[in-house]
Amino acid sequence: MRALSMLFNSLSFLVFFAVVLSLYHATRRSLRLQNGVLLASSYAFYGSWDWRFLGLLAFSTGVAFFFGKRIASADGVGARRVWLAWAVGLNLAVLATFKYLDFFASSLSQLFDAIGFHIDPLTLGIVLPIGISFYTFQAIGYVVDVYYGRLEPSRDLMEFALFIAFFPHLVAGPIQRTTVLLEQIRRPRTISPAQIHSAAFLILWGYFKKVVIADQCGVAADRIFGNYNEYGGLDLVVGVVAFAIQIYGDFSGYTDIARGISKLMGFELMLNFRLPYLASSPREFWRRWHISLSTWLRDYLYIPLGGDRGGRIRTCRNLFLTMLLGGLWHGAAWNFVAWGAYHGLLLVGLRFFRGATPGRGSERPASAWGGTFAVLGTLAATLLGWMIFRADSPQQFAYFLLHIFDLGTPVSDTYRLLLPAAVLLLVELAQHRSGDLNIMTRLHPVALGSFYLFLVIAICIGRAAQSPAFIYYRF
Amino acid sequence: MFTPLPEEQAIQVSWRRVILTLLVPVVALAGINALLMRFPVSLDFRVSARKWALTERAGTDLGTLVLGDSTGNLGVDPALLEQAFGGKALNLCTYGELRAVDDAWMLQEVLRRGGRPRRVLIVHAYDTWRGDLDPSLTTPYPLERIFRLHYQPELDINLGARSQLLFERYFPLYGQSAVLKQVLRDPLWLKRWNVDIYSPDGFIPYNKPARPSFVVQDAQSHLRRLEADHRIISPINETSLEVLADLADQYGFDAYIATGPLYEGLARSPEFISYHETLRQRFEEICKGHSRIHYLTPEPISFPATRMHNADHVVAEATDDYTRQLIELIRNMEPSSEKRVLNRTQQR
Repeated sequence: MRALSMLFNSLSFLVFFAVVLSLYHATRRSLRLQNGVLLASSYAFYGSWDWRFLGLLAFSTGVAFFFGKRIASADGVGARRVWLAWAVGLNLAVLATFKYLDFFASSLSQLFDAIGFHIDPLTLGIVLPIGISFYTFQAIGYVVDVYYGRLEPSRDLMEFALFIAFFPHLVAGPIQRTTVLLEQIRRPRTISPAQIHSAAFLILWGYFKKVVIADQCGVAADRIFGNYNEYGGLDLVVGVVAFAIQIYGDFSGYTDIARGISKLMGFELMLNFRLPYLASSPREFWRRWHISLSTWLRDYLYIPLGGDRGGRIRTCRNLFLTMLLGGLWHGAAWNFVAWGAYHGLLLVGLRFFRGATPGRGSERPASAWGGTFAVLGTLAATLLGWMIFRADSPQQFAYFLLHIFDLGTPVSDTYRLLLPAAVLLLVELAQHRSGDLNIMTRLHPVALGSFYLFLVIAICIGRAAQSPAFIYYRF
Repeated sequence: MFTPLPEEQAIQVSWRRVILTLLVPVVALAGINALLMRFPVSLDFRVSARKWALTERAGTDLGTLVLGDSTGNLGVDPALLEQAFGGKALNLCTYGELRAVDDAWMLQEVLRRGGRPRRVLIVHAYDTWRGDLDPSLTTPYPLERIFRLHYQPELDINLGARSQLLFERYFPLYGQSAVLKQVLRDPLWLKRWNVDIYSPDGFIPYNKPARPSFVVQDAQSHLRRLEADHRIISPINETSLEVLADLADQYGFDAYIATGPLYEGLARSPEFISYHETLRQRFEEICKGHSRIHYLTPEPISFPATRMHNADHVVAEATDDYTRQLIELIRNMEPSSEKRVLNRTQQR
């Protein structure tokens, strides 16, 4: 049903964005017209994937907008709670139907089969609408914020619709908070030289991470996971590391491009990654990885469940449930649930043995060796999680676990596909040492320009014959 | 120890700095692209660009125009055609993946530039006729002109695909990336493919020695492909032949379709004979409907392995022989082709 490929790494998207940017700047004298251009473009962007899902986007938007006003004008907590339940329930119902119905139906059928009862599952073969996990969460976040009085409900449907549908982040986040993005939509935007400067880096660096690093590592990961019983030892390690780099390069690359193109229009989207593979603990990992989702889960699931206010057992329960549902959010498959449960256990374990941390920074041990071991230990734990996430079957996961330490087996040359990731490592080490994610943009203009030239050449030459879609488009 | 996570620290930047930073890659990329347009690393690009440039030489004294694929590119010597038939002869053959679409477009360009060939010789490997066209292979051509002038047959692709082709054409750093990647991996690879493509009449002889044992192996590959694929002439090639036939009628020249040279072991195999018989019948059906299109090689012209580069390309030493045989076939056909046209005119 897709008429045009609107992947960020497609020519059609570049043409689309060039047209949108031109219209956007041509209408800068009228905020309303400018927002109208963005809204129309966003719907056109979403509709290019599959026009049938525009209705879902509009429904989710309409539900949040309508119930947001009802919540704000309701008398009493009871009435407000009822409207909130409707708003959240309807959005979750849409998400559950389109994302999870077939999964739960076939899983239930398998469960009955296992105990000797055969039932035919009612599966509808429903197509997963792209981006549904992101915009429904954004809509839910809005109505919950209105309920708690954190913001006034939106009275302007066009502005609100743009907040939900804003195309740079529509299909794969970052999930935006109403207080941040809606305010930017309501005010005239100006574009500063610093934003252009930052946008150029984010866009080129994002494309490089996706097209050169992630796609190449994806070839390596697919090769090893696809024929896993032909490999052992170091090759299995290469496969897992390749997937870890692939999913990071892919997702952070997408986010960088989304943030970069937003900056070209004067919008600031939230940071979604802070060098996650340099985390010193699993807890810190979640402050660095997919930050928009982890903070959303914290604010709209963990805290409403009780957070850490009910004693250690309750806190651990809340942590575990939050991570479990976070895993399920990623997709309708048991390995995502298992991955979420795994991270839940890690966080619960940390909580049990080390207690809460006072803030939101890095928990790095004071000594250099301690710091290094903490990072490597966290990385190993994260890689084990990615093994669960990527595994096509429990048998495959078991094979990896049993054979990953067979260091005597011959190594293939698949590791060569990971070599471009050395550039990623160098840049991120520079960012880490300086504590500044903008460190590259401080280079002398000729040096930075030359770096951009290198990135463009690498993107042109290093791309795979057919660059696949972004991984997080599936969620 | 508790340390803050990395942040995007604010940076003060002037417009001058932004412009200077972006100017460096923009200027460098413009230079690289201009260099790659002028000196393409891809041999396909270079051959196609060279042949297209030669259409400017069509002029008014064009005796014989040779179109087709690499079997004709390496196998037909225009100098011999000039000696035999007089007038200028040009070899504008490219490669098989562009099918007969290439022939139709080249011919329209020659005619647009005022060239009026007296005869057109179309030389393709037998299996070029059954293949479909991959539009992405047309990027070496001046596509903006082909699209603007609506050269037939038009590519059946949407606007997005068209834009992609134009982008790959005019941003060769992207369009030739597969070859550039190969060159970066193995710089000597370029030297191995350093073929002289700048002869004034377009002929590119294969000046390396024959490979008899490879020719025999290659023939086996051909037979395996024949077993798997029984198609004769693909729709895009049929359409292109219609275009060529209409142009022949309109401009009054004769067009001769010839199968490229073949290794004799392949030409004599029962599977090939059976296949070629079907191909011959199809060509003769097509030619019956058009007075100016003629099928020249109902019996393919074949050579021993000691004179071949692979099963369907001759080495330089054999091109004279192949060309002379084609000349002889054209001579034998030309008087009867004139008669046929005369008879049809009289019947009307």
